[in-house]
Amino acid sequence: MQMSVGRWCLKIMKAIGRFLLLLVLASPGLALHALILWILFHNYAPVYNQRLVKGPAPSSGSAQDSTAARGLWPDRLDQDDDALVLAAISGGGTRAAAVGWKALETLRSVPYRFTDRNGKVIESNLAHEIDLIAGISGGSFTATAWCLGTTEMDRFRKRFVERNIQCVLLRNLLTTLNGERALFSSRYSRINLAAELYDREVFDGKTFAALPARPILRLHATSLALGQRFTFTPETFAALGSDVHSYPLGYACAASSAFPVLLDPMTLRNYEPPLNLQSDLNYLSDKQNAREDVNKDLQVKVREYYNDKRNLYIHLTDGGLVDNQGLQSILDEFENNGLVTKRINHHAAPLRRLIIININAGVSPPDNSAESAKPPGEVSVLLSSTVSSMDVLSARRWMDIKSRCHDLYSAKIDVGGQTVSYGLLQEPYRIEIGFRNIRNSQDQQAAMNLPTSFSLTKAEIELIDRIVPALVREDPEFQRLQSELGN
Amino acid sequence: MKQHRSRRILICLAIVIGIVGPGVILVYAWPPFYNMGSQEFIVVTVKDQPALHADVLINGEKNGTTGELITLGSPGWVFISVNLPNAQPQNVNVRKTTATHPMSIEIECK
Repeated sequence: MQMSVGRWCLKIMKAIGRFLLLLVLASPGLALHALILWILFHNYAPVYNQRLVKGPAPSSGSAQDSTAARGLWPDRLDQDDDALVLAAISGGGTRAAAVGWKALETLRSVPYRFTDRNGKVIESNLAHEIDLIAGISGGSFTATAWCLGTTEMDRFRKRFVERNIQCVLLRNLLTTLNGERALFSSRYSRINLAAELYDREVFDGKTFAALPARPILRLHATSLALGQRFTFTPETFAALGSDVHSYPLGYACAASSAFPVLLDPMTLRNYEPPLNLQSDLNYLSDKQNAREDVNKDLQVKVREYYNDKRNLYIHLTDGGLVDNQGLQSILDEFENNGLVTKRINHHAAPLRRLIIININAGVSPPDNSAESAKPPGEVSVLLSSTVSSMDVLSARRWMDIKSRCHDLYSAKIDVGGQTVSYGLLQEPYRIEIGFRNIRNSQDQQAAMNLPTSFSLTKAEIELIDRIVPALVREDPEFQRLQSELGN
Repeated sequence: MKQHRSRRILICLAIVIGIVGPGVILVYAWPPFYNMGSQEFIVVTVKDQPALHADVLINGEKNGTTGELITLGSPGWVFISVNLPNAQPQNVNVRKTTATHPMSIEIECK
């Protein structure tokens, strides 16, 4: 027995020795190979955002430039003019994409009947009434697919939600020419490889020009230098001297989901010439209010940073670093010239329903650190300091949205029926779809332990498919809306 | 007798404070909390033509109509004008308004 163990050990030692010898012999070849790849690819650059062409509006044909897309009314013909529906899908990798997908599918099955401008009764559904949808990180993919239409949404499930994206990314990195470029180039990196995958295989090369007027899409990333939200809108791109309409949707989703360390930041070009900020009334107004209003101060700094054309490149990372539920995007719509205030001020068709849908795929796995005297490791501390603090901030934002809705409804009580803009307004509906509201403790525990990654197992997707419709139906605000709709 | 009187006064005072106290708290503490609302309200008209209907411009963007209640998202300085030729924009600090007491702004069109 002792003899056979000794013989095995000897065999293993010999195998290791042979492998090391092979490595030593192959290393000059490998080094030469790496050197050649470096020479070939170190300067390889990705496709950047395009420069804005001066002259006649390049995007005049785009639906996103229509009055409806800029927050004006009327809506689309087949949408209820009396309702304003805003939705936000949080981050959380494929988990968020799956929760968002199922939530929208559930809302699609909720009947919504209204009479249009021509007096015709339209049988619609609640999801179809969404006027604006904000997406962060994993949620940005679902939000984008939703804006592209129901056919795209059905395909999206197969192309993204049920697919092991991280496995495909790894395979592309190790086996394709662009993968080698990503390994050896200083400018083209893993995030560009991911962006090309999303562009090619999830969104069929569609750009922002393919988006309809409604719903308005708000995709968010984080500007690394400023630590501020970056929103993919024509206005933000105009500040960079660039054209958003030619920018691929897949690239924007990649920037929104570029989780630090795992994926590199996505880079945009900041083109000349700078804008004349002194003629920009929003900038001037924000500057006047900057001392008293921190948000306005941040807006001023962002505009000045983009307008400083010495900042040639803008590096973007995961949108979840500053707003992991997309709720700041909804809050902005309550500000001056936001969608909510504009809609309230549109007296010709008084607003009847304001519906806000918060689709939150956030999880809080159990923390056992208190059971041990040993302090948590670096990774735990890093996650706690980024994710946990962001969860607190998002909870605060959700409370702020509730109080803004309360303010809006209070104004109705103040003016009564004296002004048409508030005359018909029902108490705003604030629907929250989140794992913290799961009633069954076993389901809640299972949901809270779902991974944050770009791959889910079949069982995990089935769990989401089972939980989310119940979360929608059990929400008290959703029930109030259902009762109002007569469902 | 004097002791009795002062005790009675003390009891009455306690009852009055007991009744008025919460009221005082409601009057002084509740309104500031309630008025934490960030909305402001204006009504814009064209000078010498109060019946004229035109689009109102808030920081250069169309938002509401003249003569009607307009809701602003937050207090502070804002550029207000109307979508008419030769309209003279005004830079106004809108604060502490309510839906029942909006700020009236007259825009001159030369």
